[in-house]
Amino acid sequence: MITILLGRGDRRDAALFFGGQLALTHGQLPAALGPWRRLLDRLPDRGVVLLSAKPSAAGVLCHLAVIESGHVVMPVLPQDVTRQMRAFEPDLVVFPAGARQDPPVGYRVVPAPEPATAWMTVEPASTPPPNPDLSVVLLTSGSVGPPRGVRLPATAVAANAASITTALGLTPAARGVTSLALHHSYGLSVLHSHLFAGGSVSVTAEPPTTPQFWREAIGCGVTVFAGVPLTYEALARRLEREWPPGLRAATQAGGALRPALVARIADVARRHDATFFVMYGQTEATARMAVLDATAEPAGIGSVGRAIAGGRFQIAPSDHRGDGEVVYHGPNVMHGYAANRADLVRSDELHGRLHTGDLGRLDGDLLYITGRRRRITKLTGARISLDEMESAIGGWVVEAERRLHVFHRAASPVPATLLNDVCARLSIPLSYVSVCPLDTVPMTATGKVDYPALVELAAGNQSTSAASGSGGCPATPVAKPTTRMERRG
Amino acid sequence: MTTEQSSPAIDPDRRETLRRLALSHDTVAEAEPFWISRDRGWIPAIAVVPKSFASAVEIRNFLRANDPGTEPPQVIGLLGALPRDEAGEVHPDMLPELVAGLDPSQLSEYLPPETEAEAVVCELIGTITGAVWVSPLDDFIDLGGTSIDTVQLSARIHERYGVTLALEEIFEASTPRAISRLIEAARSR
Repeated sequence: MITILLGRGDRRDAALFFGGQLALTHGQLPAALGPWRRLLDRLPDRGVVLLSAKPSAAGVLCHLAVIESGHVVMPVLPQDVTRQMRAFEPDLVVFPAGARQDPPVGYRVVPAPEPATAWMTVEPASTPPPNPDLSVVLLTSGSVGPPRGVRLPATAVAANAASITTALGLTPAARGVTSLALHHSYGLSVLHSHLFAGGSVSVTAEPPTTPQFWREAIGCGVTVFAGVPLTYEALARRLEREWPPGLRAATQAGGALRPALVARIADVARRHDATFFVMYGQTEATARMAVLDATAEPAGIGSVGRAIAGGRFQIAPSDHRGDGEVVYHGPNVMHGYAANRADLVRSDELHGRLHTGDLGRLDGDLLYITGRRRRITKLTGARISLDEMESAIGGWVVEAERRLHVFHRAASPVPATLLNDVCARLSIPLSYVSVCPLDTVPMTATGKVDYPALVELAAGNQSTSAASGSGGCPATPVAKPTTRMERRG
Repeated sequence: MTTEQSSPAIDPDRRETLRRLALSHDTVAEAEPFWISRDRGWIPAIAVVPKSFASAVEIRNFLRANDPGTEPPQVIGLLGALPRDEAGEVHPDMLPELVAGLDPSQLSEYLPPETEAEAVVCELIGTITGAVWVSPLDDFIDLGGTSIDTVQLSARIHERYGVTLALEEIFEASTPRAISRLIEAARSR
C-alpha cells in the first residue's frame, strides 16, 4: 500500500459520485476497493494492469485500487487495448464495462467485480518486475508507430495531486467531474487532485458539451470543471448565457486556447465570482507544470502562467531560430519513456528535468510559449506529432494554412491506403490533409530537410486534397536548395 | 400586435397533451401552449418555465419527436414565470408579447432554410447530431453537437464544397445560417 489518494478526506465527506448520485464517502472508499484488491492479490508481486478506460464507476475504482496496491496501471482507450497488450504484456487486462471478445492466447478470463471483465496471463511475464518506483504508465496521445509510454513514478503522481490542490486552492468542498477521459494525464490529474484534497469527483462518461452533462454536474454540486481548448470553443456562448450554478472554478489545459477566448471565459467567470485557470502541462510532467489565474490576472493572458509549487522553468539555448527551449524542473517529471514491457524495469533517466520541446520566454516568472521545437499540431484538437506522422507515412509533413501538407519524392508516392490508415488512426479528417510530390527536396546548409521552406511551399501551393481521392498534384516547382542556403546565410 | 385578439383557441385536450408532454422533459418545470402570429400565419407555440441548463432547441425537438399530433410547437420561449392573475390562472393571451420580448438565446423557432447552402448545412448537422429538426438559427451545441461532431461537420463541408472551415470558425458561427455564409464567402474568394 502506498496510499497517495486514500484517507485524505474526512470519513463522512463525499468522495465519488456515480451517475449524479453520491456513491462513496472517503470513509467508504477503502472497503469499496476491496473486491478489486482481491483480484489484484492474484498478481505477481508487482504487476502491470492495462485498464480500458472510459470514465466509469468500475474503471475509477479499479484504477485507484491498482495505484494504492503498488501495482502499475496503464489506462488506455478501448481501441488501443490489443496493440498495447502486445507491447506491454500486461499481467492483467481490465474492461470496466465488460469485454465483448474472448481473451487472446496466453490470457484467461478471471472473476472481476461487476460489470467488469478481467483477463489474466496464463504464464507470468518473462521480464523482471517493473521498477519499484513506477505507478502509472500513460501513452502520449495521438501517437502512431511504436507505442510510447510515459513512465510516471508514485512520487510524480503524488506531487501532481498536491501541486494542483495548492494551485487551484482545492478544499474538501471541491467537487470535480470527469469531463476528460482517464487515459489522458489531465483527466487523471482531475481525479487525483480532488481526492488528494479530501474533495470529491463526479464520474460520468457524458461529453461536456451536452446539456445532460451539465444537468448532472449541477445536480450533484460540481464546483470545478476541466476542459481542453475545443471544449471551451464549444461551450463559450453557453457559459456566457448561463453560468452553471455552483461552479466555482474552470480550468483549461491540453493546448493553447486563443487569448481572446481566455479573456471572454475569464470575464464571465469573474462576473459569477468564479475563477478561470489556464494551465500548461505535458503527460511527461504528470499533466501540469504552470498555472495562470486568468480572472485575477488578466494582464497575464497570453502566457501560460507560473510554475506550480515545487517546479521551476529554465529557458535553454536552442538551435531553432534563436528561441530557447522550455526546460522544466520538478518532482512531477516522468522517469522516461517506455516502448515495451522490458522498458518498465528502467529507473529514473530524467532526474526531475524535462526538455519540453516547446520554445518560450520568461517575463518575470510568467512563461510565454512561442513555438514548438518538436513539431506537434493540435489542428483538430487532438495532439498530432508531425514527426511521428512522417515516420508512419514516409515523406515530410508540415502544417500551413490550417492544413497538414504531406510532401513526398515524386518517385515514391504515398499509397492512398497508408495515408487513409494513418489519418484514421490519428482522427485527422482527410479534408485537412494535402499531398504533394517534390522533384527536389529543399535542404538546409547542414544537410537537413528545410522545413520552413516546405511550410512556405505549402502556403503557396495548390496541392491536391487527400479527401478528393486523387493521388497527387502536378509537380510543383521547388526553390533550389542552393538558393535556400544562400538566403539563410 | 393587434392580431392577438383573433388568436385561435387551443383545443383543451390538445393543450393538456402538449402540457403533459412538455412536463415529461426533465428540464421543464411549467408549460403553456399558445398560438403566435407570423407572416406565414398562426404558428403553434409553447411557453416553458425551465429548470437549469435547459435549451429551447432541445425542448422544441423533444416535442417534435414525441408529439402524437400533427402540429408540434414550432416556437419555444423560455420564461422566468408564466403570466398569472391573482387567482393563479394562466393568461395565454399575454404570451405572444412576452415571448416576442425574449432574448434570442431564450427562444427557438423552427424556420425553413432560405438558401441551398443553409439547407445543406441543416441536413449535415441533422445527420451528424441526430437532431430531428434543424432550423437555420439553431445553435450547433444546443442541437447536441460535440467537439468530435464539429470535426465531422468540417470534413463533410469540405467533401461537399471543397471549403475548409476551422473548428473555431464553426463554433464561433454556431448556426447553420452563419456557417453557410462562411461557406459562401470562402467559395466566392
